[in-house]
Amino acid sequence: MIAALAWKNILHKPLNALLSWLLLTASVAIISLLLLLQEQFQQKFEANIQGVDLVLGAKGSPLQLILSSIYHLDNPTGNIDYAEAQKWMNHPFVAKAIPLAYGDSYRGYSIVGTTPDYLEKYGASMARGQVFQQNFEVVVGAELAKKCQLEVGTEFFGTHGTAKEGEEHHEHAYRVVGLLAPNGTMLDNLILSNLESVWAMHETHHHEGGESGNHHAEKHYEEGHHEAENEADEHHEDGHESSSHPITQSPTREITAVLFKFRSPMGIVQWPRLIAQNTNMQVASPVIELNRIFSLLGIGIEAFTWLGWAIMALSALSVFIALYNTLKERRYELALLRTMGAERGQLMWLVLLESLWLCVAGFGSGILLSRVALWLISNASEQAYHFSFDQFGFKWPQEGWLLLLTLGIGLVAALIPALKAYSLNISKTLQHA
Amino acid sequence: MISTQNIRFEYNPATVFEFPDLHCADGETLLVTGLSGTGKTTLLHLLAGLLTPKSGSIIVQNTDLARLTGRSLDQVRGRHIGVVFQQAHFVASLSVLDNLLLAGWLPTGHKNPAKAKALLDRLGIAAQAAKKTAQLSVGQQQRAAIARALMNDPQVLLADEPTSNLDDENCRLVAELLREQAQLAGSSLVVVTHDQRLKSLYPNNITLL
Repeated sequence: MIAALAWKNILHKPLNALLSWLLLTASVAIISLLLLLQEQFQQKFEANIQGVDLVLGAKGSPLQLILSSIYHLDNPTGNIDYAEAQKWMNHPFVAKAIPLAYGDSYRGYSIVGTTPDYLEKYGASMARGQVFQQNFEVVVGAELAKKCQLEVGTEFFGTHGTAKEGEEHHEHAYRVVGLLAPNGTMLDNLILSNLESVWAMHETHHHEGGESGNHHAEKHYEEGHHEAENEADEHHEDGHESSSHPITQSPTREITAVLFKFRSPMGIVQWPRLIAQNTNMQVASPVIELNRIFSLLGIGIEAFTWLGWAIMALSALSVFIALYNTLKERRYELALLRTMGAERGQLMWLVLLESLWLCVAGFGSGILLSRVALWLISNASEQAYHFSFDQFGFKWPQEGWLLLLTLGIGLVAALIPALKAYSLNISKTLQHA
Repeated sequence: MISTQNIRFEYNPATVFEFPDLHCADGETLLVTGLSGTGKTTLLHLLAGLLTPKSGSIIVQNTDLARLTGRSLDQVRGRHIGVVFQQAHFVASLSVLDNLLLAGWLPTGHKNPAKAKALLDRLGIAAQAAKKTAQLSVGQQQRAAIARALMNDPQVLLADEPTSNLDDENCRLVAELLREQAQLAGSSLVVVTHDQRLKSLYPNNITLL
């Protein structure tokens, strides 16, 4: 009855409660959104680097190399010579080396040439069909298959580069031979083929390009290509003749990156310098680069978290002011309750509950708002980066703590008004009404 | 039934009230009149258990209010004493019916909607039951206040200046209504007022000096 009365008191003067409720909603929404974003971001990022100690790729920004090779969030730093990379791939330190060759895309989704090891590394299982074996056979990630309505047996043409509206390769169609089961990594949004498919596709491309002059749509491929040529020039004296061969017969077999897992940690320590000094390539550590991203993001997240706490402090003040003011107006009402037999404790409880109801309402709407916001963010990042967040589910225990904290703030804000109600002098109040 | 003996109350050593002994049996009416400053409101608050006398006793239902404190006093006040104030105040966020239900629930822990509806019916405001109290006319508010005071069939019904703002006709009507309702509930009615008109209506009266 007291709880119902407290609720009715809030509804009776909704404007008094509105500001407090809005502030509570905003602060809970901000804090909860950050909790969700931070965790899911970290989870998604960390799930993808499992089993990758170092990434080998063309020189450039190591962060870019990691972002492009592991997360497919950026353009590659360029291409590297496959023969050159293979020297390192066969090194005794190496437990597993997975080559990746980028070239084409389909509707903005990368088509990656690799080995079946790549699927194994992510623990992928086939939902239907089988792993690619022949050239131009592809396996498609679960989410992508759903979005682009790809089925086993579907044939499609790739687009050169990663642009959605690019030049299509009409010489060879890719054929879907398998669909992956959803597994929560980048794999869900990728199309995978063998390495040879990528090379074969671009052999003809080069050929065609040679005939029609400067007919190149994508920049990054060009950069990689030039780099490879430079490399080839350097090795010329050693009798390496790749550039003198006709392109159509034996093109430079290029790949974009290699993911390494080491048998010995020596590799992780030694390789970065070894490779930087002796080759035209670089290795980057996903862990180090990831930490760099998180520490950069961390500053922003921390700032927003402080903003959330500041708004929460404001909402506490607002609850306090609202209760304190209405208490002045309602002193007679409280005295009346006492003449009707209410105990001191019941009045105190009434005032506390009014604050707690507000906090519960604010928490509820804040959690709801954070989910809506996450849904919008998820949609946006899904379109831009094929990177989505799960907006359902309660983040335990952090959001449990947030609820307790919100209620705690409600208690603190209501404490003085509640004590005033507790110690109300009935007779005096009634006489001065 | 309510009776007092040698009640003495002091706000501070300079402001001391000593009240004559009162006695009012079940179903009877006692009028207490007096000029301003003679302690009418103080007496009413003492009788209602809102103030505790320095000495003396106030017996309601064989219990001495002067010796009760805290919860037990709240209990007796809610259960056995009904108060009708000069200006009808209510819990503004609740409907008329809910105000009555709350008055019934506070000392007993039980809601008694049948009783509340019967009272509203008896006082002729059953049609206003679902309205917020602010929507009622002044006359209806006073009736609702009387109904609320009678929710627990109190031993004592106290009325503080119930007629001072009313014209002669309405004064008579309210005085009748109070007496009639108190009798129906079996309560002792104690009316505290400066309104001299009531003396002719309530023959049993005491004047504070």
